[in-house]
Amino acid sequence: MMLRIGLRFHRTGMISTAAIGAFSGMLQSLGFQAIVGTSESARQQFGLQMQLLGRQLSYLVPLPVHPETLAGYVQWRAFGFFPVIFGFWALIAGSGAIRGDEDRGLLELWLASGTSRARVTAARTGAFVIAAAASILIVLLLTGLGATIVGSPLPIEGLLADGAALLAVTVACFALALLIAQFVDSRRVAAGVSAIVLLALFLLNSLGRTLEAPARFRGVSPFYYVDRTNGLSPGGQIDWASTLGVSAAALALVALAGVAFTRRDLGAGLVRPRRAVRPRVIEPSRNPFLRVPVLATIYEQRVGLTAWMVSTALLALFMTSLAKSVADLVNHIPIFRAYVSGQGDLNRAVISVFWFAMMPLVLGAFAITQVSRWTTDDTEGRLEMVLSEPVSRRRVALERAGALLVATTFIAVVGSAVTLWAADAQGISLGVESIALATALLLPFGLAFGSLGAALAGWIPRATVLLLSGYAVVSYFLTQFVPLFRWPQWVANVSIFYLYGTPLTTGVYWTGFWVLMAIIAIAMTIGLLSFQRRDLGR
Amino acid sequence: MQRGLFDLDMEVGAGEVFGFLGPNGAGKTTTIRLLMGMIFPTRGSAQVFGLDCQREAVAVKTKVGYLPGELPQFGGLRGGEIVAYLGGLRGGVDTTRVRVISERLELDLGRRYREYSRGNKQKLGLLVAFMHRPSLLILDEPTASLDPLNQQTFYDLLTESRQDGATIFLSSHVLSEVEHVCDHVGIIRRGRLVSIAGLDELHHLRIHHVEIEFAGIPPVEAIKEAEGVSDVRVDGSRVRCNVRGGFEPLLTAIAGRGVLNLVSEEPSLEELFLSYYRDEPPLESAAT
Repeated sequence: MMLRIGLRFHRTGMISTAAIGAFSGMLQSLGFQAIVGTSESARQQFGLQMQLLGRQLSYLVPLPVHPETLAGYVQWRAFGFFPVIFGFWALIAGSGAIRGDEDRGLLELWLASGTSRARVTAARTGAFVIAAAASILIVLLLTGLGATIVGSPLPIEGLLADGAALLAVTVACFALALLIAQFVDSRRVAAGVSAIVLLALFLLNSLGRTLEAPARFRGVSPFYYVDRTNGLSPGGQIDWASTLGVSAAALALVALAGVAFTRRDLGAGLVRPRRAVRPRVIEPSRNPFLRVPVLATIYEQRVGLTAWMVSTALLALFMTSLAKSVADLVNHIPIFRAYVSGQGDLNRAVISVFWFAMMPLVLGAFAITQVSRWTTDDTEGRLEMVLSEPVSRRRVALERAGALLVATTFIAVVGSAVTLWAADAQGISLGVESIALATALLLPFGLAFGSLGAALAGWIPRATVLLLSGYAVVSYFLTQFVPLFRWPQWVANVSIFYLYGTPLTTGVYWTGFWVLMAIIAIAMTIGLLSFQRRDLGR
Repeated sequence: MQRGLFDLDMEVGAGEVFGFLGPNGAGKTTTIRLLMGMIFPTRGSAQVFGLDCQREAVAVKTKVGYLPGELPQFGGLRGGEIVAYLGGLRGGVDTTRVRVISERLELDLGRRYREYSRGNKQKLGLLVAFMHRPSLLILDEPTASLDPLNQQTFYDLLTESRQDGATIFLSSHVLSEVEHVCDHVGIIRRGRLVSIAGLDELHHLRIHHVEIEFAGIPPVEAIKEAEGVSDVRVDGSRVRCNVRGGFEPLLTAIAGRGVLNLVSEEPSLEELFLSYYRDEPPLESAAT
């Protein structure tokens, strides 16, 4: 029973990772021939260019091995990113398993019915392992299918070894988050601390790929061991010992988490901060933010919003600091010129195309978290409490949109300000006016995404987040693949990210802007009408 | 079987305390959510103080204090922040009143919502419902999770609101509670209003399971003949029976017969309904 419930909880994560992984793996396979060219010399040149690019991207993915072959290219471009995608899922799942069950009141029921804590730990871990294995299997099958379709089947043993290594590191991330969750008293804190620890381990390994000092400690990171298997690349290696080692470490971490779980009180962590004795409070809070529409919502989300702003700032810093190196690469790799052609100064174009194309993705992801919050407001009863006060549904919907707009503005402004500063430090002039325009145009983009979410939430609330996330992923991949594979324009127009354009270098893309405004108007109206007529809790 | 409300037709007078009784899944919460404009009827309408509950929901809610059946999850917000936020949405909430009610309910508004026990969450819900002196209180199972002392405080608050002229509509599972505070009672079963009764009529519904232990041979015949006594079962020196209405006839029948112990239990509402409506034919499905 617990296993079945656990599998149910992992369903969304499983579908999302399988979809993203399979889509990415299959497209890399299918598109390889179009990128690499037909002659042997073009293929060799492409391989050299990818080696150059690989060195620049070693902060994110392992160095490529024979990227001029389909198998080597898929190993690098698809399997290189999978630990990040699956690790993120494992982080959310690990901090949510047991802690999340506790929030839902399930844990108390299970324990009261005579189930031991060890069994709960085993069942929840088992459910995740099954879900992760199923997701990875789908990814392997579809990636393999893509390669077979273009006539270059991938080696089965390599595929299986890559899948096993990916599964091992995914379970290790889950186990680490599960263990950390036993030491703190809430799911949110567990997710935050786990994210910091996993990010540190990820960076330790990725920096160790090129730098000597962190290389000495790479063995601490589970990501190091997944790097050691690149079974698809010709001449690559399959390190079953590493995969088994990480699996054993994951098992040990789960066992430790089980022990920690048996020693802690329900509703508390093993580490319990001392609480100062304070007098009873009988007055409502005097915080003025709580009494102002929109700001009350922003105040409620202050911690999460700050995390988004800091992450965006760090990402902006990282992306902008790579601008000159990427510009050098683009100069050497003809295929990438398709992205930046006709955009003037190359450094500016690189920031415009690579970073300002990612900003809408960041804001889209943020908008999805907001839409998810709107749907849980209903299922968790907060909306009922709000609507029991004399406020109309229209006001609630407009306040949500207002809060989304304000939060989006904060994130976009912080990201742009850091970009401006980091570019200036490298001697790249972006111009305050241009960056202000690019930032301002991000706002309707975020709102359009939220409006689509509002329209979907009024229609099919339970599937809203999944559908919106799916659309975001497909849209983003389209922006990457359309210029590369020279797909027709109508395919590009399906992607919402295209509507943003490249305002930093080419000014306002007016067609896209007006389409975004139309999306906002239509989707918001649909969302508003359905919200006004919808029964709460359904 | 279809679920929902069917042909519900009832009226509650101003200044009245109206109890809404029914077993689980009968439709009490659905009725209340309909009155609050949270859900929409497929047919028909509901009005509060002459205002349509759906079309004029905002105007209705200015007059209403509401306690939902299931309290929401406010996570890390503190009690005082929730009161300030909801009070801010309403406007014009008197801080002194908040202070007085918190004091009486012994509620600490400085703690985080997720740290509250179920009883404390219920107290916070009651505070939000009462804080603005509403003309109408709609309370879904208000004493659920409250300890006896806080139940008494709640009854006191209810009495004071009534004295101030408020109308009260409350749902409950507990017959004795409804008897304690209500003028009229509506009984709902499978989405249909079974009856609206005064307190006198309610007494006919009242039933107790009684177990009596005697020192010697039990006076079985006298017990069977006592008015209101039914289902008499004898097990050695113990007698079990059901008593409907007052206890006087049973007590007269067993007086001076060596009673060692007497235990009386109120059955659950579900049990009561099963016994009271046992002979009713099953309800047909109908559109709302």
